[in-house]
Amino acid sequence: MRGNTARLGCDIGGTFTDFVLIDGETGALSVEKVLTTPADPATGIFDGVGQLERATPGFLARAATVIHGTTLVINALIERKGSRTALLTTRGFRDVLEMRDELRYDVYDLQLEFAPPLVPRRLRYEVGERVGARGQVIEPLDEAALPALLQAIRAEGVGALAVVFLHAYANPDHERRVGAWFACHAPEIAVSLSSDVLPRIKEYQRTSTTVANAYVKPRVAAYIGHLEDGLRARAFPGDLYIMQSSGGVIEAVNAKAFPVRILESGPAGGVAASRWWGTLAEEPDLLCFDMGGTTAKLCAVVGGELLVTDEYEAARHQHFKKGSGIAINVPVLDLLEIGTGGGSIARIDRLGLMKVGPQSAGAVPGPACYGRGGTEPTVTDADVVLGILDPDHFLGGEMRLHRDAALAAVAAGVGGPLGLAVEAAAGAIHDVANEDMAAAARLHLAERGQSAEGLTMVAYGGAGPVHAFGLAEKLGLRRILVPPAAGVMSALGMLVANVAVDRSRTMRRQLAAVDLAELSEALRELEADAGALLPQDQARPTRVRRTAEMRYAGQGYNVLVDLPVAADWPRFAVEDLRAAFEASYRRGFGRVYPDVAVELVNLTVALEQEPPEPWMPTLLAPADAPVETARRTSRLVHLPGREAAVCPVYDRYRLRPGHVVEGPALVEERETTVLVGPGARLEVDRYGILVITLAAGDAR
Amino acid sequence: MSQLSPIQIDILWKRLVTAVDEAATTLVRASFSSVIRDFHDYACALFDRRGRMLAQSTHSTPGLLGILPFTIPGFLAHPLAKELRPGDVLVTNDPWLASGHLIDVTVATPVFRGDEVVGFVLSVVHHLNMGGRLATLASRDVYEEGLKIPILRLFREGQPEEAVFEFIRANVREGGKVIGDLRAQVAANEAAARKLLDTMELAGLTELETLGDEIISRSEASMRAAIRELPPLEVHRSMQLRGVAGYEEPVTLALTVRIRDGEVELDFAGTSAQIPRAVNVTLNMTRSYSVYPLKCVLDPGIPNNEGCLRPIRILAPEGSVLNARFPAATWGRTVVAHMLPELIIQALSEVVPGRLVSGSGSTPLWYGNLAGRYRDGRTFFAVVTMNGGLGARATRDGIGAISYPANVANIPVEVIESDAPILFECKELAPEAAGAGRHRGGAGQRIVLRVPESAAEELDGTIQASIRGGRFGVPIEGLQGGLDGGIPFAELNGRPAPLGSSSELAPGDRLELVVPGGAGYGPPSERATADIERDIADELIGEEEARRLYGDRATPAAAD
Repeated sequence: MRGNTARLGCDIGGTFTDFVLIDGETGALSVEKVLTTPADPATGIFDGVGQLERATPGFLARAATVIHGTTLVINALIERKGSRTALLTTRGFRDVLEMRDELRYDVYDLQLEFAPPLVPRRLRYEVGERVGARGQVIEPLDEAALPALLQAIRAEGVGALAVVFLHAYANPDHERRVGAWFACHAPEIAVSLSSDVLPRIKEYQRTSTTVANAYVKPRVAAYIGHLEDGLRARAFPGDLYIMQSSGGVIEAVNAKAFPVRILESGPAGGVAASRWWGTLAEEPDLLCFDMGGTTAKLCAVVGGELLVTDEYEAARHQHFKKGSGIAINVPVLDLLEIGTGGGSIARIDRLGLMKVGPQSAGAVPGPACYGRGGTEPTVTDADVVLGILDPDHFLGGEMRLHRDAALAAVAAGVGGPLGLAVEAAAGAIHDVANEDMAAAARLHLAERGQSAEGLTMVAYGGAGPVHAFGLAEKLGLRRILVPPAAGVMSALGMLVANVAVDRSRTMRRQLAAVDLAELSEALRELEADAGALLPQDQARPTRVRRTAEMRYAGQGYNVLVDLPVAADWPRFAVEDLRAAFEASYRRGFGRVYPDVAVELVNLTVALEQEPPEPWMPTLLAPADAPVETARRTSRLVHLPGREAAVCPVYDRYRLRPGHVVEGPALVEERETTVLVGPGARLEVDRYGILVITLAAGDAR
Repeated sequence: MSQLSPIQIDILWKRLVTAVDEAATTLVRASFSSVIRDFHDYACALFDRRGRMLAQSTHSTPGLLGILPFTIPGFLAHPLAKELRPGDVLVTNDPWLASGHLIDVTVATPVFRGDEVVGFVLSVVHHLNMGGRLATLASRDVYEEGLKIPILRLFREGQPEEAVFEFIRANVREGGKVIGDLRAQVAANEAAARKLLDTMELAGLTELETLGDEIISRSEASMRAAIRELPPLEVHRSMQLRGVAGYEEPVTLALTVRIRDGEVELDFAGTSAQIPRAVNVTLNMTRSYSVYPLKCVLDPGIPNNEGCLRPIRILAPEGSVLNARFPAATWGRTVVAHMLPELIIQALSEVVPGRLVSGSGSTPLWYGNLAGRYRDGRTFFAVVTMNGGLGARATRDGIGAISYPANVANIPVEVIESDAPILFECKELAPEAAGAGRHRGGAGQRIVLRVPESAAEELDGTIQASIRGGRFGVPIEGLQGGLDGGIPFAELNGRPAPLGSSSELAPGDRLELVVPGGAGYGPPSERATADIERDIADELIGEEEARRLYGDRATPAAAD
């Protein structure tokens, strides 16, 4: 088979749907972009497939896999375009969803508001049943009440049902019986059980996650079905996979059951691709930096491992404020998103200081330099004024920018009020935007017990390589990678991501009360459950990772502890569990407490398989001409806090392995411009990655 | 240092805030004190060498807002401050010098640049335990409340003062964890100090005062500008609390607000004298909950620092319940202090009508402890939090079951039931306990919990339940014609249960609590018909009740 198959990665973004096709026959990589079709996103995919077919006839008929990332789930949550959903809870607990964690997300904002819950109160039903904290049945399930419930929710036109009973993580029996009853009597209603979606302690988080899953389930199932049908109709014989928020891919059928797991698939693709480039460049510790028009996203990769969190929030109500969104506690890449992008507007605030964002000029009217009516200065305007962006070479010259409009906006909005020359004002905007991202990154890393030290930045997105140098300097980073094909990073990420599934459950025990046989059995069950989610038709080497979340009794933060695989289990003792916990704790906090009890909270088994034919970029021929041959022009660039300098401008597509560029310099490619700051040195590696090394020195 | 540009000021200011936020983050992650985590009852702050507060961690409880700026000046007045050496760390939990009750411990670290002090960092943590009686409002004086730590060195030139640690360990429950949290405070201070020095180094600063002048003067100017937008005012308000912690005499909180020339004066003359119960408020704490509503209403966006407080003058008669004298008992001071935002906002209702919030059912803090022992000797301790509804705002409804003016997370039922032999029958919204109005109050909350009969097999004796809450007879007042919020409700086995003292729960006992909803804003007759219909559809109000409150126009809602 190898050598004759094709694999297609496809990512739907806000504006464009991106495709990366790897042709197993030739090893060639082709890239395609079509406009996203929001009304029916699959149409855009079929358009792109059609265009690729013209260039590579018959590729789909020999494609082994199509791997897809979509914004469908996140958009359905933000735009409230999911199904009419009901919630069934233990009697006395239907309001858990609405009461959230009872916290105000901003202590000083007395006008705060939350978006209404996804299920309104009248569609939140209760049933008699009760399970206790140890899984014991306190009150049997009142199954006789289900027919009346069904009648009520049918009358309401409900298409999806979330079932969340107290302590269902400890005993799922009642939920499963409701699930089975509905499967038998009302198969048209898409049911999500909390013990399937998130079998973990804490009822609000489990309810919110299960409800979100139910809310989007019918829509996602219909969409994926439609996509499969369309691909089959075009002779696609292979398997459809979907990118998950965790950075791994799953079979489409599992995405239909657990759609809440695919909600950040686009950004996850970018991080998966970053990791792949990092591996090729032999850089395992990364800070992925994706900066676009409205936001910037940052995500750390440590030791080659994607870092995931299960404390995620979708559709934050206000300015990215933590606590204002929908809690979704399934594995999501631990990504920081902040409201700093090319379109962020710079304004003088009431303190007489300049603030950049979170207001954004968006795509319409866009930055002043777009010439579409924007008059307030944005980050992109500043980058034009500074000379980093060439107005005649934006998007490869397809879109002409208006330098005069940028100058006028920066002068009027910032230069005048602060008494600064326009270049200095632009430098201030660029610098403050970088500072905001640096501050957010420092906090994000500190919250995870990490620091930026020793990380290598991977920069992508339209504005990423423009701001990477300034941000890296502020964070004290030494190296920046700008990979090729950065315009389709997410789609490429789909092709290099592993197949990854996991199952997790709460098993809360004081260490002294842990029964190793029980623990081993629980892990075995989780491994079997997870294994059932792997593709069944192909036996490939599978990496098993078994972990426990543990903590000192009384602490609120769990520490992740690796457990031995089944084969090594017989040599494992409870004391080893404590020792493993203490080792992890010491790494995070620098000390341990020998006299404090330790407890086990959650267990997780994660299985991963590498893609069948890992893609390797073609090695580029070394440079046979001096770097000057790649030089396109030069121009005056004003860098924040430095003397203006005439910088050479290189054409990325003419740079070859072995070429070295000393900063200050610019490298232009179609989707972005790479700023190589003073003292930095750019080298092109054999894969075409631009490797920028910053001058030694302290963070700025 | 000569002059700083506005851009430098912005960047350096942000770095100071990030430095304390980063340190606070580490502190929260490493803490054993659940009150840090779930009540946000902690802070890290940074000061220049004159003791002026320049930055405070962002997510801290409002209860520390007015305290922090006065804490380092308190340390500076102490003889130990004259002989500070690099590596020294100071500590205190004196309620009058620092944050108002013994359980909050403040650790302060001077920041040295070479041999010279350039500033201070401090961290405050509400600890797990500080000895004394367990969570009770019944204490008569501070001596009953636990160990008092005067200003002492905790570290001397980098070496721990073991005698101090041992003294503390010997006087508190769960000593290992308390000492662990103290050490985490020292580490947080070190982290913040390091970041401060890095920032100064990079910016070429040799001192902090130049930057401090900018931060303080700009914040002060911003607050003054916001105050100047208000008309001059002199207004008097008061409220009377009855039966506070079983104390027979009423407690009056009296307030005169004077606004003029860009300044606000809050004068609490006429307030009752301190009482022999653990509800007395020290002046610093009174400052916190006085400044808090003003900041919310006037200038919420500015990160807190000394400048924000300068245009605000707070006067409270010494020896009153709002400026208690040593040795008053202060453990449960939020019972009184949490009423201040409501009192102040009522007083301001004519001058900032668009920015108000009516009375809230979660004011003051409701909170319970369940403690006991199993027959096998293990002990348990579970915390129960419950919040009522937020009052309606001038432009929108209140929010159901949300903390205010504190910010206290709900402890999940599943966690409480795992930690203690308790069963919840319900935890749900109590919409009937909210006030109607053009905008209605947020729904209250009903909790019913019982000790299952089956617990008798494992429980040794009874469960000691200390539940705090209630309004002490003060109505939850609606503003501008909005109706009042509901009345707190507490019953044990169908009989009224006292709030604020502790009771014994035996197997079979059943405790029902209703934390009221918020008050309405504006007359009910002005409520939009669509909003009434939505409330009926959401089952927040019955049709009959809707007709009674809003008149006949409330019609049965069609399905949405």
